[in-house]
Amino acid sequence: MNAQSIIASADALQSWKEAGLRTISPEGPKVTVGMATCGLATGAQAVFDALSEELSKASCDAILARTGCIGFCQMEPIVEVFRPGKPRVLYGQLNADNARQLASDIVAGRANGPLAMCTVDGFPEPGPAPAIEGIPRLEELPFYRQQKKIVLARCGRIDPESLAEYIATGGYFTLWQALQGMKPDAIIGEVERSGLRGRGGAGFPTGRKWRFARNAAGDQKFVVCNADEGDPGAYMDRSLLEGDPFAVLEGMTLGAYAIGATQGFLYVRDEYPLAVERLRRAIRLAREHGLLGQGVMGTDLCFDVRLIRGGGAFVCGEETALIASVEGRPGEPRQRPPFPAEKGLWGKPTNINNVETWANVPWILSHGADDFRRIGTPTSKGTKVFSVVGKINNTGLIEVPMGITLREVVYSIGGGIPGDKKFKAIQTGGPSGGCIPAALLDLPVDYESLTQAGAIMGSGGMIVMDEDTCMVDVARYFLDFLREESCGKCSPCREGIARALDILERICRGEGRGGDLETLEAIGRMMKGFSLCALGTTAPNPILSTLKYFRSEYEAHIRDGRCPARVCRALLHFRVDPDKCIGCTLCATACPEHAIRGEKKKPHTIDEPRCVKCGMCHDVCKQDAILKE
Amino acid sequence: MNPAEIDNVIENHGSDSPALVAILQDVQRQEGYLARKTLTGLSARLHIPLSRLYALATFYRAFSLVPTGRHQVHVCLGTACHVRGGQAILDRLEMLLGVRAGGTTSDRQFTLETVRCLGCCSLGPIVRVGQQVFGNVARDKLAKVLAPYRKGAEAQKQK
Repeated sequence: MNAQSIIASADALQSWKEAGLRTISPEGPKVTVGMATCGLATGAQAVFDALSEELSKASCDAILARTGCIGFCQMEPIVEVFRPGKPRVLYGQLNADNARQLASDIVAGRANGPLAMCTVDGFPEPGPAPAIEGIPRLEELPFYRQQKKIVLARCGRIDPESLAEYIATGGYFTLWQALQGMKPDAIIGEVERSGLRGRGGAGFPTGRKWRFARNAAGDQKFVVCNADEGDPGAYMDRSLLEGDPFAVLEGMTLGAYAIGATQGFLYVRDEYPLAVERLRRAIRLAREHGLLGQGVMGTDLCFDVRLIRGGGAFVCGEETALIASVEGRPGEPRQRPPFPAEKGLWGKPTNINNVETWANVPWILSHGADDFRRIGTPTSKGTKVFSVVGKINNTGLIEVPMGITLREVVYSIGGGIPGDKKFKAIQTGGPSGGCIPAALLDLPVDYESLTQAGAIMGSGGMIVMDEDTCMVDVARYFLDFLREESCGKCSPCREGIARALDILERICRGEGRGGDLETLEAIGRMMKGFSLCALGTTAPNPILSTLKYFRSEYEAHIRDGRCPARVCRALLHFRVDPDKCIGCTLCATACPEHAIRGEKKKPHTIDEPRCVKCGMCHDVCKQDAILKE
Repeated sequence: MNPAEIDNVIENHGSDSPALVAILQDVQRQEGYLARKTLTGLSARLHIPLSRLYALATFYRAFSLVPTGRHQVHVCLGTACHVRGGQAILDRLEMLLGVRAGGTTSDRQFTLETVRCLGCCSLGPIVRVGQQVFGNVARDKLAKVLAPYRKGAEAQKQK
């Protein structure tokens, strides 16, 4: 290990930066494949292997590299091709076959091709993407046009396992400058002034929380990164951890310096193996090069980070349950006050922040609070990362300034609803959130507006729903999830969820009764008022928000025994349309109950009493002859 | 796992409180479940009451107290997959495998589990068998998805 191995001087940082720039922009061609979990799930490994094979067959000296998620998951697998002196080009929807065509394009020096998605800027140099005839620039794509990348700037652009590339793109310069020249108090002041609010869902002012932890009495203090991202449909933190793990470490180190903490814990969800692997590696590299441990960057600061894996419990995203889990106990929340900033892990002052919150810190300190304040709304500053999923054309991860409207997210960025179906609702905030209907699409996305509408910002999951989604079933779905995840410690939550779910399941089975809706509302009030933690107090939100905007759908289930969206199976009737049926017998073969009868080439009939409404016939029929009513 | 392997795991993670869940996770991964014998052994080795390990083993979903199948079949029931028909996929798999979610087939080949959000929402609905992710699954193609794993099971039996 040479002297430059320990990064404890401006010169060392500079030489690492130069090394990183050389790999980001090498002297020969470079091909980078997006290999985050979403890329891998769509076949990025096969693309990588095919490119590797073809390029070496052609004796091409192109370097093959991997990167994280660039956000446009709909287009994965995505590949970036770099040629010195030429614009970088992104290619989308690759597979093992067309990757071979791409490889020969690269060898021949051809940029254009049917797979070309856009040109990308000369990262890390600032500035818009240069143009190539026939290929749009990244900023011109509707998916990216309104985005502003602060926290996700490096995801999908650098090698997440390369410390040099992190430094080359500004990493650790902020920590260096802070340790050299800023007092802890000044750092907290800057974070307070920036208006940064917790990105995990509660939106508590981050600087204020840091101030509490700094002022609290204790012989040892801790900082924690809450990476227990449990909202189904939300994977912002996962992409950040897989794509730019050092940013989280640098943010935590800055926080530790400001608060006076000496030990950090990074609590990562069990279901994120790639994120765990990347973080383990990043922590190891940081320690090896003096960025964590005794004497960080050659100063008096002693700070280390320990990775803790979750055990598969949603409730451990709640900060006191997380504390219990780190302490080696079942993740049951406790009474607050005292708040963790006063008494957290093992009774000591502990500052807990979400992944995205930590990742914002280096940017705020290097650009200044004023630049951060220029983005967003008066009460919600900065950007927010959202996962836009469900019934939407452009599925993916976006980072947008607070204040953008829901309509812009769904239609301008998201590209609208597939199949020309009608938008019905957008669900935000996971199981603690609510559904927002079409009438409110012009709401700005900020903490207050979403809360007033009966939803919450949450961690950033945005699930788009269309006319084929049953809102009663959505409420049932969330309560079913919460029933499994409730820790069981307090009666309001444990019993309230169970009873509410019973009622919702009855309604979805067509056994709803008069008074059910009033009972649901009463249970909701009870849980909001008396549950021990936010899992319980926010559990009624999916019910109350769907009741607020879609009450008529509930009433159709209860009064008419009808599911307008045709989702609740017990309320469906399957019938063969004799005009469309060609008697191919596919349905009869598929039916698990042998409930369909008919001769070959003659219209079939479904024996209703035997039908269990599984819908297999509807799935296999190629003539659209099975009616779902 | 033999005592030496268990000692290895403990050495890797340490034996302080934050390490307990990590130790159990390594054992779960190695043996496929947490046997009573193993928990008793750990309790003695770590000087921790068995009840405390049992509390962790029963609270966290990562752990199973009964042996799990050779192939873990996970159906994603995240909100995006739910909205794209994930429940129907689960129902169909329950029918094909003859077990409810959470169960293991009697030949110990398959364990069917639900999982909430693998983070591949653009591919929903999703089924994952082991590490292999199947996206955009159609209900009538599920038997085909399981076929190669079933064939493997048959070949295993014949050996």
